[in-house]
Amino acid sequence: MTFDVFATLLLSGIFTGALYGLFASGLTFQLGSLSIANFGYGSWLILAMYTTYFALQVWGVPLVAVIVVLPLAYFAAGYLIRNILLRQETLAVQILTTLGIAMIVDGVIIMAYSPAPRTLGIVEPLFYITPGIHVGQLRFLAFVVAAVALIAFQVFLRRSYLGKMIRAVVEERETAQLMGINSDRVLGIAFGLSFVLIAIAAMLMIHLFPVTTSAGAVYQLMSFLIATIAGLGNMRGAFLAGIAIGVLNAFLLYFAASYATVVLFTVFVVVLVLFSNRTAGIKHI
Amino acid sequence: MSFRFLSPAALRTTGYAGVAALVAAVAILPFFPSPSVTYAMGLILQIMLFVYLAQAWNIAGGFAGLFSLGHSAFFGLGAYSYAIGVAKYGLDPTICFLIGSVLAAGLGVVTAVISTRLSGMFFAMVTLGLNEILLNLASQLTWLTNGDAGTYLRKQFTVSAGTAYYLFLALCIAIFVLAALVRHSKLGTMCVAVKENEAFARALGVNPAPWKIAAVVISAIATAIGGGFFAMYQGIVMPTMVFTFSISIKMLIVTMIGGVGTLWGPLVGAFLVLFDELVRASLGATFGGVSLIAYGAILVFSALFLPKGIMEAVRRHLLDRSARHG
Repeated sequence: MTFDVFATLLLSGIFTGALYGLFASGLTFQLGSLSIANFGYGSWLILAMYTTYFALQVWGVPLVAVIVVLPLAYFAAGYLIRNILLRQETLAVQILTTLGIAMIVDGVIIMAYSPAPRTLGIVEPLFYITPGIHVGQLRFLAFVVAAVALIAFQVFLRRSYLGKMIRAVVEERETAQLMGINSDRVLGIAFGLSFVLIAIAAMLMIHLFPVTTSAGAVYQLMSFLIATIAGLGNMRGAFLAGIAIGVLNAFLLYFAASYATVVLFTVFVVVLVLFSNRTAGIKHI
Repeated sequence: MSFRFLSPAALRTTGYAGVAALVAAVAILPFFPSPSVTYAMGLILQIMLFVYLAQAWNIAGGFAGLFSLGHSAFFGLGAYSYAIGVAKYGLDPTICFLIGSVLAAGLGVVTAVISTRLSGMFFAMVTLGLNEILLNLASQLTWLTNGDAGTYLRKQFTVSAGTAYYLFLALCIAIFVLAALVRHSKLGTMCVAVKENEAFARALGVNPAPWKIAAVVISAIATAIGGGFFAMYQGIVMPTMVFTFSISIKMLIVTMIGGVGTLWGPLVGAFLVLFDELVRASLGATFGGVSLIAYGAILVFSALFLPKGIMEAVRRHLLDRSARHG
């Protein structure tokens, strides 16, 4: 393996991995900070991908309009789901509810968009660092957007008034309520924001990958994997874990493509079992 | 609801009579051959498969509270052990079931030991991951499993739909007897104690690990045996057919709609499979999405209004009545 191949794989892994980090960040936040196990995550992700595809290719909506409207719609969806359907917090009820919602979303995708695979079919222009080492320009853009989105979200949680309210409710709900915070409203907003992250990730992903109805389950598992390795609720961790998984995946695909998933999920199980005391129950935010 | 007008004892008697009548009706149905009966038999076979699997899940997931999302791993191990054993190595079917059970029990022990370290959501995710590993191994180890093309069984190793029908009826009866024995044994009591309050159970001197392991191993072996018989009547085993999330999730949903941790929950929840099959049969061809939406809506509504399942609502009514009437 030459240095050029190594560098290209590494860079491609890093840039794709940042996108993994972005699409897993919503789940990381939902699962770790809001304690909601969302088994419909993948379905919502592909719904946004299909919607972006149809808006751009079929309905002829300009990209700017999609970028404005889709995250808003997703925010509303997240808010309503949390505050109407997910008020109970037992794991069993959450699984049942989110799976039911996932089935409805899948059904909507099949009815509205047909289950055919869709791709924007963009031939990604390459960006040559040296004659042998190259990166895809879209991947690079995705890396930048992912980094900006996650840093912005982190800063929002740390600095803004609303972000502080979210953190207060996550850490000590009863005390926060005693201080006059409407915890249901705040949690609804937080869940809505995690849906905005889904929408942003999906709008980038449809420019890089084709979308199929079965892709949802794959993204769902990848998100769980990344969220777990990151340490649930840890958004910066999600970004780094995404990059780590992206690099690992890029090299696995080069050397042992057929066992890539086996290795990834073995890592997942081992990390979960060995570092459970570090990840479980701790609310990073 | 109608059961409000019955006393607890009467309700219980009615319940047992209903189950007996149901078993009798299912048993004599094939003696009236007609095209619609053949159709109904296919439907009932499908329902019995999931009632059996749901009850197998319930032993670990319901009684012991180990919320597994990867029970299809045990199912697939059983199915593949049978298929590879008879088709590739020409082993005796009994040996194949034995191998499947041993493999499933081994994985069950691993799962149960993990469950002593992880709880709730994290345990659920580990089981999901374990199943994903097996799914990918099954599709990649082509020398053993023939990969995604699947392992086919020759005719002498399969059973007809009619035989499978009685086979699964027998399996269903057996698993309910087994579940009742487990529930009313020391094992069941310990499992429920650990599930309800592990710290308290520990404080009373209960070591949860052996009970959890026992419950998961029983559940795993039962699921693997179901997988073996499933392979026997399907005649083919493919990775995405057995190691699939949709099987794990159906086992869990049927149990949850009926009532997790209740003995009759898996039977009551089976109407969902019936509904699913009927909707898919009537609407599937024209509106692919509608059946999914209807199914999803039922899940959401039952999570909202019957979060603990139908049997729990019945049980609460029984408790109310006995409290009021002494």
